[in-house]
Amino acid sequence: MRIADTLLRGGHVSDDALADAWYTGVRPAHLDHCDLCAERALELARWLEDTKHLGVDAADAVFTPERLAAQQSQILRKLEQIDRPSKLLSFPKAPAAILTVETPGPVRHSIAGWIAIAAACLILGVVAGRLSVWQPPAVTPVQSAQARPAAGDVALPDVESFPGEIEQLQLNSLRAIESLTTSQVVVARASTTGRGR
Amino acid sequence: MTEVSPPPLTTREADALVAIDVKAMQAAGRTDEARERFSELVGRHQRRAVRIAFHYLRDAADADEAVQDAFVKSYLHLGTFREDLPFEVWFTRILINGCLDRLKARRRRERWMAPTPVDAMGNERDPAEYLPSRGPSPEDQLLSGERRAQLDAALARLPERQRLIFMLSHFDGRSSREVSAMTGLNESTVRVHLFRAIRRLRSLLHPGAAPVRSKQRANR
Repeated sequence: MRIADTLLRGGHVSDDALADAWYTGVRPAHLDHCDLCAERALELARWLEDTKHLGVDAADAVFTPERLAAQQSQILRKLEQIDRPSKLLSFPKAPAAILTVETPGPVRHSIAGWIAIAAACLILGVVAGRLSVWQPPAVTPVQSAQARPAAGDVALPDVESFPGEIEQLQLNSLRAIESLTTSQVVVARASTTGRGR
Repeated sequence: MTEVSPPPLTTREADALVAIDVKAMQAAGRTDEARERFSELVGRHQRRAVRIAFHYLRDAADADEAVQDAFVKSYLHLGTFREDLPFEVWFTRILINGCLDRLKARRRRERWMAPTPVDAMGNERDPAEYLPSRGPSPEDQLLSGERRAQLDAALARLPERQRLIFMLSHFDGRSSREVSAMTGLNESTVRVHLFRAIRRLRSLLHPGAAPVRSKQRANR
C-alpha cells in the first residue's frame, strides 16, 4: 500500500493506481478486502474498455479494408515513382551549346572552314578597296621629260605648263585694261605738279 | 524421428528480417523486389498507423496522407533503421513527427485566415479542437453515433501531448516504456500524462462522477 493512499485516502487506492493496475495487469491486494475499491476498479475497467472499443471502432469505421487497400497501393505507387524517377529533358542553355552538342565532328569542321573563308574574303575586300582609292606620288620633271612622247606622235597639251599659260593669258588681258584706264600713280603725280605751280 | 519446427517469429523479429532484406535489395538496385518486400511491413502496420493518425489529427484525409508519407519516409530512410530496435517504435516516431508537422502547418494556415481562438484563460486553443470544418463527409456520417461523438469531443479537449499519450497507450495498447521510446519523453512523464488524460476524459464524459477522495469523504 502506498503512503499517500494511507494518509490521504484512508487506505483506499487512488484512481491513478487503479488505472495503472488495469494497464499493467497487476491487481492491488487491497481490492481483495475492500468492496468500495473493488467496485471502483470494476467501474474504471469498464469505462476504459468501453472507451478503447469506441476509439478503435471510430477509426476502423472510417478506414475500411477497401480504403486501406487503396492506401497501400497508393503507397507502393509513390515508392515506384521514387525508385524510377521520370526522365528530364535538358533545356538548351545557349545557341553555342546546341552547336557543340548537336553537330557531329565533320559538320563542325566544315562550318569552321566556311567561317575562315568568309574572314579571308572580307580581308581581301578591304585591301582591294584601299588600293582602288590610292594615288601614286607626284613624278619629277626629269621623269616627265623621259615620259614625254617622241616627235611624230600626236601633240598633247603639256599638263605641266597648262596652269602657267592660263595665268599668262589672264595677265595680258589685265594689262590691256590697265593701259586704257588712268592709273592712280599718274593721277597722284599730276595733282602734285599742279600744286607746285 | 520427428523434426522440431522452429518457433514462430514474433512481429518484431519478422519486421527486423524484412527491414534487413529491403536494405540489401535497395543496395543491390533490386528496387522492384525491395518494394514488394516492404509492402509486408505496410500491411502489418497500416491499421494501427491510421488509428494513431486519425485520433491525433481528427481528420480522415489528413490522417490518410500522414500515414502514406510516413511509410514513404521510412522506405527512403530504412538505411538509418537499427534492427536492434523495434520497427514499429521507429516507424511510429516518424508518423508522430509527420502528424505534428501537419498540425503546425494547419495552425499556420488558419492564422492567415482567422485569428487563433483563445480559451477563458487566454491560452491558445489546440487547433484540433476547432479544425477542420470541411462539412459532413461520408466518414463523418458514419461517425455520427452519439457516444463516439462525445468521446471525440472529449479527446479534442485534451492537450496535444495528453491526447497523443492516451492514444498510444490506450488505443494502440503500448506500454509506458514503448510510448516513452516513441515520443522521446521520460517514462514517468508518460504515466503522469496518461493518468491526467484519463481523469480529464472521465470528468468530461461523466461530469457527475466524483473523484475517489470526495466519494470517500461522503462515505465517511
